[in-house]
Amino acid sequence: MQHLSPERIASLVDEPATVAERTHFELCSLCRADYVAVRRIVAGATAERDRPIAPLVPWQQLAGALRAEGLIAPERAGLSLTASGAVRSIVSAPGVGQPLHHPDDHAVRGRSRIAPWMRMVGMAAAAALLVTIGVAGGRATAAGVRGGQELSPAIAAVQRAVPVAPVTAVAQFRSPEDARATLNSAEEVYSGALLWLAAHDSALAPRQLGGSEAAATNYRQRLEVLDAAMATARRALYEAPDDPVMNRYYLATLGAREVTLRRLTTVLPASQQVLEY
Amino acid sequence: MRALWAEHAPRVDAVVRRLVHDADEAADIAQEVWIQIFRALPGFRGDAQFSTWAHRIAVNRTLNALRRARRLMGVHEELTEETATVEDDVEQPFVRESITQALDRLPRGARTVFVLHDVEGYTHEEIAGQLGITTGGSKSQLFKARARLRRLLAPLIDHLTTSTRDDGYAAPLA
Repeated sequence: MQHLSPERIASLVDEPATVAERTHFELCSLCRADYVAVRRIVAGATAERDRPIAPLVPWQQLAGALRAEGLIAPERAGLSLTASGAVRSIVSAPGVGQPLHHPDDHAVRGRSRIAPWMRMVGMAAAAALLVTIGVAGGRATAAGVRGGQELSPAIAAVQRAVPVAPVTAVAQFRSPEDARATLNSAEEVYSGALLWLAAHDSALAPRQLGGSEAAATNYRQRLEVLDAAMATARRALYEAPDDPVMNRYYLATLGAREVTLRRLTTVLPASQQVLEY
Repeated sequence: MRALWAEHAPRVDAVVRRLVHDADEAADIAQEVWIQIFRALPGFRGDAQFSTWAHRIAVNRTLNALRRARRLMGVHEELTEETATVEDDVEQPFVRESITQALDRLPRGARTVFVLHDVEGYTHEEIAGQLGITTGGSKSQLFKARARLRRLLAPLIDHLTTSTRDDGYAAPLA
């Protein structure tokens, strides 16, 4: 038998060989070497998929393009999202202690009101964010809270419920970079715990809730709150796309949403699946 | 937004770069991809992981950009005679580089199909749909691409094979 063509050898990585071709491979070291080489290339190519590269466009350039598209707010002198402003956004988010009403929140429009316990989850999330800001945000970030601004009753309630570290307690940070590194580290732990809880919280297990239907209802309620939080975070990010706290909050919420959707799928009857939410 | 970009850009931009030969053009398309991702973000339904969703936008947007630039006109193009002289280049530095760099030596159509199939995991049916070609055409381009990469990377691959006792041979499927 003649040697196999290079294209034919390349095809045998995922197509069956004839008996004659298999016999030829047993006898022909050249064709066998070619076949092994192609398999290595394909394996290497598959591994390429997970190999990251440096971003092709720097963020500043992309941010300029996003501004031009109206996807983030135009740069304005002195514009910044203060810590207290961020917390107000979260605490006053639709679904967190208030009826759902924002016209942009298409994902939650028309759904049922949030159960009281979910308001508690929302308040807890806001509290966690407040603690994060207070502890790791550093002097500059905390200045908005410290500077004598009057807090909304909702934030005041959160502060009463959750002792917030006084600003003087953050003096251990040596620099903004130090504070940012701590913030990133704390947020990774926080996000990990949040995702783990979303995936493993036994309080939402079907057995504890008296059936899959009840569990599904709870997952849906959680999704409503997460959608509302994401919509609020998006609005905040429009104004301050670089704000590290809001970015982390948004990422954590996005991750929690994905996990919750997967959990919802596990408690639905086999005949049902989540096609859209 | 910046954190979202920072977390996913290394992989989203990688797929753009693999599909686009020219570095400057890849950067332009990557910017378009991210604008599209942020524009579509409010509609992200979560029925796939964000990374998967963003990845698909990157592929679609990149193919659209290439198509717009008429760079996919060559999807049916035959391998050029340059292929036959590859063996003369075996001592050139590029053969010692990775598959990614070798991809730059493939014709556009073959490169696109190879990246979509062997790197990104698309089926021939999906590729045919994306590129407006037949599944047979997709397979043909893929096998040509693999065969050419084999020649381009021959010194590297053969060295790997001879440096190990096991030649890695496992008989093809019957």
